[in-house]
Amino acid sequence: MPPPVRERQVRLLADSRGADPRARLSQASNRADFLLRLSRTVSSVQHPSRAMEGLVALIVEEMVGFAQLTLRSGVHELVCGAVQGCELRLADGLRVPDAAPTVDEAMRQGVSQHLPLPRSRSQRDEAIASLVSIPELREELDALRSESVLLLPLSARGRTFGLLALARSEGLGFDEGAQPFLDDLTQRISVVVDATLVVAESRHVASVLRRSLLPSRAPDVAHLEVASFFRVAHEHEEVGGDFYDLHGPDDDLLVLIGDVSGKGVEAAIHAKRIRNAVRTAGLVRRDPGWVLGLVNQVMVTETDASPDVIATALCARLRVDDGRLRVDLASAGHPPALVLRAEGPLEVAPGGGVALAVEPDQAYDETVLHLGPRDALVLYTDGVTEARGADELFGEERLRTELRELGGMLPSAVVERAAMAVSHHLGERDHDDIALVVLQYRPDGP
Amino acid sequence: MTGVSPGDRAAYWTALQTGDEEHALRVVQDAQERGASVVDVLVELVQPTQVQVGDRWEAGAWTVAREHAATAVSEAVVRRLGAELPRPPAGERPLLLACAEQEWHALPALLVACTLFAWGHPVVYLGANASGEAVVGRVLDTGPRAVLLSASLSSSLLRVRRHIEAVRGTGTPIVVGGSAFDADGVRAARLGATAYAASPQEVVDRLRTLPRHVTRAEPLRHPGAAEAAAIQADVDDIVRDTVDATDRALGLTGGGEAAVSPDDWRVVLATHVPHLLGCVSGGLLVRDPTIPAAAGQWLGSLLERRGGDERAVPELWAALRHRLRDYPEAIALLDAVP
Repeated sequence: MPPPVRERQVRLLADSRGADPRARLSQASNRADFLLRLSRTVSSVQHPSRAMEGLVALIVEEMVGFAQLTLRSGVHELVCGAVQGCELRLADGLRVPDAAPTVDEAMRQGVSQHLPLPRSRSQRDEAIASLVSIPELREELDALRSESVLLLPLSARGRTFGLLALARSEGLGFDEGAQPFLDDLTQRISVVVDATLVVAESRHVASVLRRSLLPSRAPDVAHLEVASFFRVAHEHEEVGGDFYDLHGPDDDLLVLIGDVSGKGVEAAIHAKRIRNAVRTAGLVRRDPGWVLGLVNQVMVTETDASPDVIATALCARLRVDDGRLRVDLASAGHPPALVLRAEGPLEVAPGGGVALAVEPDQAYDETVLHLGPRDALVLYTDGVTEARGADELFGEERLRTELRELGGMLPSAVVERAAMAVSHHLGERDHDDIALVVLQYRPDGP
Repeated sequence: MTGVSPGDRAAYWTALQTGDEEHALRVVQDAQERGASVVDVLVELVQPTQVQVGDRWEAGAWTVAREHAATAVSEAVVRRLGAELPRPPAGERPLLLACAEQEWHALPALLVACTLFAWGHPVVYLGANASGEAVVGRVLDTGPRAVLLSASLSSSLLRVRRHIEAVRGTGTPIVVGGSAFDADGVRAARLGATAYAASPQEVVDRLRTLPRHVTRAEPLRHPGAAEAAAIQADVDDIVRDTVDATDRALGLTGGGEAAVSPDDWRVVLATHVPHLLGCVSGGLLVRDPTIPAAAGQWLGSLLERRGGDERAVPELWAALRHRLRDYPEAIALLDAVP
């Protein structure tokens, strides 16, 4: 038994050429209404497979018994199809050559055409298999007992990138009179789907770029517990000029935090270069003053191209030394590190120094401190202390107040506490890039 | 028989009290070796003890710092459990789970994420304090089946509404949950959420009937919504004036806050004014006068247990009422506060 045909479907595609004017007017209005709803459903969905699901669901709900939408982008292929009253089927992956030769051929030709579905079993199976690669969908289409499938290539910006295949139940076909309506439908779907492809492709490029620019994930170090908080100024770009890095062998780590002037992608690219320079320098010598000096030299010679770029940074070398963690610290114009002791008052490490990329041949002094078990080093950028509140900046003093009672706690608790205070202080005001990192010495593990 | 014994619960509680992550993980491992599933651990160890943690802080027995430390231990435990679960099969649309902006209590959402994950649903977890832009960006990247938005505080309802507008703008269904909402889902519906779910099981139930696509959220046109937006635009001044007026009425000097512990009742009072105002806005938005009333009562008990002046909350209401005198809907809402 073929599924019952809905009245609305009949109305949308009925041959109205010989009908009275009222019936034709009513059909035209139904079609306009349908196209409007179709545009509304998917115009906001800037995600290809979700948009396809929405389109296919609406088409089989309102118009025909079977619809399959194929979309190709490079080597990638998305197929979404459904038969009325059955589940929506989706296939998403790399394109398999020759899996659906009818689709290849119709897209190559780029013009709409009818694919007959013969009655003979073997010929019919072959015709369906050449169009539909999802097995369940093949059976469901077969059960519809359609006599033919209408193939509508999707084109935009001078290329054919997809195919819409439609079929109606036994006894119902697509007549000439419906052609302008179907052309309009194809045109609209092409534009909408093409737009989702553009968004998806550019987001893909952006996300690859972003992954390479994001602060790297801290490695697991047995004796070090690390937590961090980042918030970028330009949320839609998702990257910024604050950076943090931790690398090296467990017994001789280098940690780096810093802040490039500017925001967004450009700042992130400079930040990435500084991180790379520090990693390279660290392979040669690991004393942080020397590392910063070399990075400064690299930047001074490189900033010819972009003279406005300056950066602050703080670099520390961490080594276990007789049951304590020895920290050698050098600062290039960066806010001072704080030492949050498990017991005892908060200490402020010497900071200052000249920022990177300002003066050639700059030397950076080192200071040494020691962390006992559960003592922590708190590193941050000026986005924390310069967070604007209703009346005043967050400030060094406020940060120290917030940290005061948190000695010895898990770094994730310390970071959350401080990040919460900063965010509440900010409310919904604009802010700079914000970074906060807490590294705690845990000789006995977590 | 789940493998989680009362002894485990006591031991886990001890681990939280001392902020000892390693101890907590050992307790969980022992329970798992006796047959407890991940969900058993979440439901019978982590969840009930977290309620205890909140109670301790509310009662004034624990400092904010201690509460954070205990919560951090449970978060680390849940993350560890989640990391050890098998990946769900690729291809299925993920569920995108986030906490509303300024919602820092990530643990309830993390529990939901981990439970859904344990049941085989792919979950993308965005964590605490997720901005609308971050959520929409992930929606565009991952094309989720639905966005699940968690909010614990009724002062977040205005920000929840913004997330709902943003997410529905992408055609994606949005399911809300958390203690910011009422059990009947009235607030959720008034904010335009696609559905409300009280538990991971309800999330799964809702998924069966959830539409694949939703339309844009209709603008909220009632007068309360307009006032909520106006109040929000002026929030800094309203908070400052209200705090000052309350301080004056109570004879507090104010300003010395930085030198006082975050657990002092005066600091608790001052830092909760934005929350209370957010509850007024939330109450206006969803037309529910019980929201500010409940928030006031809750603040009253917080202060009482911290040795606060009993006039504090009534004076705060009076100051707020005076400051909001040009907002008739807000005044009508506050008139319903006993």
